Amino acid sequence: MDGMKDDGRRTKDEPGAGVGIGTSRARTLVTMLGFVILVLSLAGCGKSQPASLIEFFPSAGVVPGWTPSREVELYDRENIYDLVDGQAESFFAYGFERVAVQDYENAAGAALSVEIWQLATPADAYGLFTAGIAGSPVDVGNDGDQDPGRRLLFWQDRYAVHVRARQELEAAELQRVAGEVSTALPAGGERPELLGRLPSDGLVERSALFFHEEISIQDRLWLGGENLLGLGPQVDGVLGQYDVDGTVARLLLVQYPDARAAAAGLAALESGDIGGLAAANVRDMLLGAVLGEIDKAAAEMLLEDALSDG
Amino acid sequence: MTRLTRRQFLKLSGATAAGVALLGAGCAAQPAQNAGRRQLPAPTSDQAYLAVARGGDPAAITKTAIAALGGIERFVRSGDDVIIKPNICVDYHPPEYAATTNPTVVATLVTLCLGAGARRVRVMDMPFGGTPESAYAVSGIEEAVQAAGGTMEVMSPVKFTEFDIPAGKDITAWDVYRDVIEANVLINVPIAKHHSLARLSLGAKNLLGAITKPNQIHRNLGQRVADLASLVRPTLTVVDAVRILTTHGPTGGSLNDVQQTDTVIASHDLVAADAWAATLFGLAGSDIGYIKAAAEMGLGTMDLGSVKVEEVNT
Repeated sequence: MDGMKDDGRRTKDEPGAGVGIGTSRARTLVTMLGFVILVLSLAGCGKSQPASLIEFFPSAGVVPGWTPSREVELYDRENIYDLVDGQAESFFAYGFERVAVQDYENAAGAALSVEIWQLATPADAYGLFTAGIAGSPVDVGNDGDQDPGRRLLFWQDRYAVHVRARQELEAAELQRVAGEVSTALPAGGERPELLGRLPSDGLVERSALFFHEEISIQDRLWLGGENLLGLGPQVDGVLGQYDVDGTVARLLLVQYPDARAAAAGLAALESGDIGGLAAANVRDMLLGAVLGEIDKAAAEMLLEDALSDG
Repeated sequence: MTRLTRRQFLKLSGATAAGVALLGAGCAAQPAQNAGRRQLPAPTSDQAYLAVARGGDPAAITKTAIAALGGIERFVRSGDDVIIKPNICVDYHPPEYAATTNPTVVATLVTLCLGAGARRVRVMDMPFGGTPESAYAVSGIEEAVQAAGGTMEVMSPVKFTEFDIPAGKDITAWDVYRDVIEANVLINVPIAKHHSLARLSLGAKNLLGAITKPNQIHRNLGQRVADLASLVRPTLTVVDAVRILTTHGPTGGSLNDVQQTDTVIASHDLVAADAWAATLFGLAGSDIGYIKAAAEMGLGTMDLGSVKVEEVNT
């Protein structure tokens, strides 16, 4: 055949080299095929991995008046202590992967800092957000919290974003910056399923905390510091605060990987010296406990409501 | 002057240490432990072991607390080289957010020390958030200290030296800021605040601002902090509890987390000062790992009922 070498291969300069049809058209088809394969494989992935968090920061001129004042700083598990010192463990507890920090300034010399935290899952981003709630709600991302003009925190997909002003600004300034970051981030992110088990009646607004590890709850509920309940990356937990006829109570729910672990958690809880334990029980893989100076019957009712499937 | 973030500082200090090692042991001899630190006699019968002063004026309650201990002259003599180590961990917030030590408390101590004839009074910390220059300014401490006649010092990488920790149960040596070890007087001035890992950040925890390798110290934190305290041994601990950060520590960020408690606690005994300060959070010294560990090492006492505690309301 024309253009064939003795061993049957075609050279690139020969008509029909490659796949037996015109070279340019063949390359185009191969490229298109490769693109299709790539798109399909990405669609099948559980999460997307941006090349860099840097792409999520507003560049100069995007937010009127604010320009980046220095290069983005990047931190991972190796050097996160340089950024947050001993708080690093708090972030590891939410599957911390990396964080990027960009500072901005305006013509008046005001400065603000934006941190974009990448966690393992959207549930982790939600959890980190709930651990940081300290102010009032703000409509940014999936959920937002702010000290107006000073600090703004929101979560979206598997990212938690913290905007902090060095001096008090108009609240709208932080909201604008946060809004641009939100626009750049992947949309979506589901709240943890376990949240749905917190009975709504009496639940103090914005008190729900999602967690995996004891460090995340220890300033709200001290369990002795020895991981009494066997918490860790393999469990999901929620802690909510309730107002039960004027009495403050806390409802703790921990979803273990199996019923045996849940039973062990219950045994440890009941034998440990945990102050204010009003009621505790397990239902299959789910451990529940109510703590506080609350009427025992009311505690058991709250617990039953949380553990039941009805 | 080149401004270094902590990240840049740690890189530079690592390179510096490597360079010193190359020069040979003769050029980096092990300095004498606490070579310049004067031994403090025990309080006399008319001096408080621990003082707690309350009132609306941070300067006044600081002076009152020191006076109850016997006055600054009990701790500082003419010609002394004094270092004051407040908590200036970040440049994120002004002092109202209770992440950094109250500048008036620090400045009052500067004034007292200079009044006692101190040769110089330097104030320093190594922030992990922002540059030292920025943190010193935002915290308000720089302005207050300079107005009082003190000097803010940026901790130089070359001054971090490895010291043995003979009493250490977990760590037996660590890189510590040399001047902090060798100063005649070290006044430790933490702000009382919540800490996500340690539960509370108080006097002993405040000493971590004088070391390197923070990522390694935060394992078995309670014992390691106590080990470090056994080396550093501040002359005097003055706990700033004018405002305390009740949660989301150590950096905070919301005024909702700040409680005005208008209190200063002072003692030569770091453990006792921390144990008393813990009660402001509804805790006891034994609830905090490093306080308990330090007490067990004999660095001080958590048993506040066994010592003379003087409480004064101004």
